[in-house]
Amino acid sequence: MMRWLMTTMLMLTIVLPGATAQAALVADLDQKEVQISTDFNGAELLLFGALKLQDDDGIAIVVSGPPKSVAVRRKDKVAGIWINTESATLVGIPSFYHILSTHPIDDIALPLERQKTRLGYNYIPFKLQSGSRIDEGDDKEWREALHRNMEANGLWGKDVGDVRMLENALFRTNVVLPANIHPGQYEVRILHFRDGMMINEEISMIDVVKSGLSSGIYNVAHSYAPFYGIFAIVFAVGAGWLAAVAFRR
Amino acid sequence: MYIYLPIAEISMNVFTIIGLGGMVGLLSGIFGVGGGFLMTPLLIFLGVPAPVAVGTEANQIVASSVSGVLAHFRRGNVDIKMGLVLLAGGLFGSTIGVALFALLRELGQIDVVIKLSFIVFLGIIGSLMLFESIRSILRARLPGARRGKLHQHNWLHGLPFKMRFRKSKLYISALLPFLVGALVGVLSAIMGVGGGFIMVPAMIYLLGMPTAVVVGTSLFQIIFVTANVTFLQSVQTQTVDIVLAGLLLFGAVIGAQFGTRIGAMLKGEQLRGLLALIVLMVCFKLVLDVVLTPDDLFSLEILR
Repeated sequence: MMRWLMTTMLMLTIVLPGATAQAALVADLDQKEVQISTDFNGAELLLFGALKLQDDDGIAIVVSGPPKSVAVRRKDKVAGIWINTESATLVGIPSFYHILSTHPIDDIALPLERQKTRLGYNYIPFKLQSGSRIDEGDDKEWREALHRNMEANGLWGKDVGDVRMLENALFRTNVVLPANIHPGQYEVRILHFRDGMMINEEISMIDVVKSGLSSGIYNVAHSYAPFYGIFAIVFAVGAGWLAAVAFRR
Repeated sequence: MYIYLPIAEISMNVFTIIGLGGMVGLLSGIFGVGGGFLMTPLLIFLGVPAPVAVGTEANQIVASSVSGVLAHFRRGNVDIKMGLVLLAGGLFGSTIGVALFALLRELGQIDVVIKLSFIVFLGIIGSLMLFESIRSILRARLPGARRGKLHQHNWLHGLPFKMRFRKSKLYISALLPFLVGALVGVLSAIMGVGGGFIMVPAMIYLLGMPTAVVVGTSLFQIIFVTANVTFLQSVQTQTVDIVLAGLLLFGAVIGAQFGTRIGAMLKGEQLRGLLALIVLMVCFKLVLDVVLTPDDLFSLEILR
């Protein structure tokens, strides 16, 4: 009796996904936590998985980092000098946003699907902080400036062709986190497209945490600022005195 | 070998930082100057955020001034009374300076103000030094040239609150050193410099102090002014990176040892001419930074 029940359950788990016409998608990262320690200079994570692919299928992987407020400033020439004249603060901007894919996004996902799955810079909400404003019609320029500058500092990017498929059953890619990433939760969304439609989605998380000495120093500097200031002075006086004694002329 | 700087929040090569410290230390050893006025702009060129470069440099100068002042104390070259009056002004000025710094940072204008301040002061000091050294090199070749008057009296000596400064052999208004201290204090906070390069000429030409006590007295008050800046920047703007300061200091201490030995072998006027050229080069690079059309008119700052 017991054996019969187990066999049935096993069969159900195998048969049911097929019945809903959904190919199973499993994925994993070789590392779930990235530590920003004293010798941190970026990290590279291996993301791999298995799924049932057909020939024209595509995979897109979106890695997005903790949302932040971002001040965007525009320079103008004033009396021969370039200075910031206009500024706007945006809220909820992902501090990291990379799309890795097997093909160009336009080739694997229909516009409506791209919007539904928030796939692309244009689907990142462009929301001004209350009190901040941009002249009517200048929206596009500021939005592009945000995209351009985030790409320039390596925090945003599109890496077409960086996801490799093997035997129509396996895929792998490297998720590269640069040295200037912000700590927090990173979401890794793996999207499987067929005929322009998303047919499967899998989400993994990466925790980026500050650790070790650098984290301790950062916390003290921000939470116990007066103590940190005094410590910095004592440290400097001690080091200066030591240097004078060591090299007494 | 890379190190992640906790406050600057960037990753930098350890040897680049120590090398920079060593190079500026070498120059400061050769020329007998503090070096902050070169270190801050060079840190900015290397990609350290300008506010962090300023806050951190103030911290490093505390250390270099402590190690410098000890030798002057041993030789009795510190006019403590004058130092205290300058210091009173310095504490006043630097406190205002840090508040101004925090305000400008909020307005998004701190970078350009830091750069412009350096352009103005490096430009003035660099050209003065260059002319001075060219003149003295020429004068050395022309025998019979006369020296000017040593001590001049002008309206500055008519100010109230006269005070006697025994060691400097002066009887002048205390307002004068107070104002000099206050002005240098403001610059110290905004530029992350000790201000010796302004303080020293001001003490000689404006206050009329004997040159023997000038350097020791200026170092004495710089310790406390930069300590005040370090504390206030830590509290108000969190821009003091002690890891960066420590590495720069390590390089600077070693560089300065070689520098003093090289300096002793070279001639004064030529030395000053050389330093003037270095100062003017850094100034010129900063001018290009603010005058040339930037690659991107827009810039970003990711806030907390």
